[in-house]
Amino acid sequence: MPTMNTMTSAPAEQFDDLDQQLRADVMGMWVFLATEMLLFGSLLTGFVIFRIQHAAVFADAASHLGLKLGSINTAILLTSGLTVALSEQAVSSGRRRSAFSLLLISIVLGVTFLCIKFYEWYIEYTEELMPVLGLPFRFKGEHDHVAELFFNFYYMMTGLHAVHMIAGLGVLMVILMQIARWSEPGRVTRQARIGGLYWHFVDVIWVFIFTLLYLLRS
Amino acid sequence: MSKALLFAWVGLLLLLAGSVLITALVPGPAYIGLNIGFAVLMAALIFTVFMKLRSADGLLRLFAVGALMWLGFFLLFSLADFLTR
Repeated sequence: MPTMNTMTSAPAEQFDDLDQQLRADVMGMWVFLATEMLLFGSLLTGFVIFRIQHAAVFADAASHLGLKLGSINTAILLTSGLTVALSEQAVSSGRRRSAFSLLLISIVLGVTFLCIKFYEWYIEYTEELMPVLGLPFRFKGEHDHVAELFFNFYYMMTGLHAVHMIAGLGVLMVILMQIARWSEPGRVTRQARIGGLYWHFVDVIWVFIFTLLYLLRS
Repeated sequence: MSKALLFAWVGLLLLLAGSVLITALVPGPAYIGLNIGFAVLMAALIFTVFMKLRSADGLLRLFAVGALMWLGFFLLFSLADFLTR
């Protein structure tokens, strides 16, 4: 059903109305997310295959990750998902101030997530558990070359996720500016919906990364 | 403020707490299946409530299910050999 906001601006010429345009935008975003699913799916599948082949060493390597920081970060990201969803609702019902505040909180939570992630990487760097760019790798345990494989997956998966987070934060900041201007409410409604879908998808990816990397440790 | 969104968020945090507790308390390989199950439940909550698949039209649901189906085929065929050895 068209809301008061979506009726205040005109659709692009190829669409009959703004609702049709919103449905097309959402559909396009889902097609994009399907390609992202396969990108992360291939990485996660590769990890699972090696996890099955080297169960003991991968579990031992996983116990070197910070479960407390990882859990806090997961809670932060899930909370940002809530505030993004609430912000979408506020935008579509014309509550501009609420939408702005909620989206700002989401951005702060996203930045906090990245800061904690960078701090985790720094700890792993100081413990010489960062086998990238020729840095020394010293693993206190057997089969250190297999542990190195675990940490290669760890940096690849968390790094790729962080890149998506940064892109998502950029999208949220653009929407925040659009809400501040509020010149085209119909357009902001569509952007908030599509940007929200991307952000929630990044949450889903993190749930699986967290489970596979941090939780499977014995 | 939507109650569904708040309930979903509380559910997600409870599932997260459950996953961490399982890792700490449940011995043996059983915890792996439980943790994967909890992750799938969390993803389902985000897809249906936060990403609004619950109230989406049929075509959009078809696209979403199609994406998951192709991912499922990919996982199944890639892991079939390793899981049946």
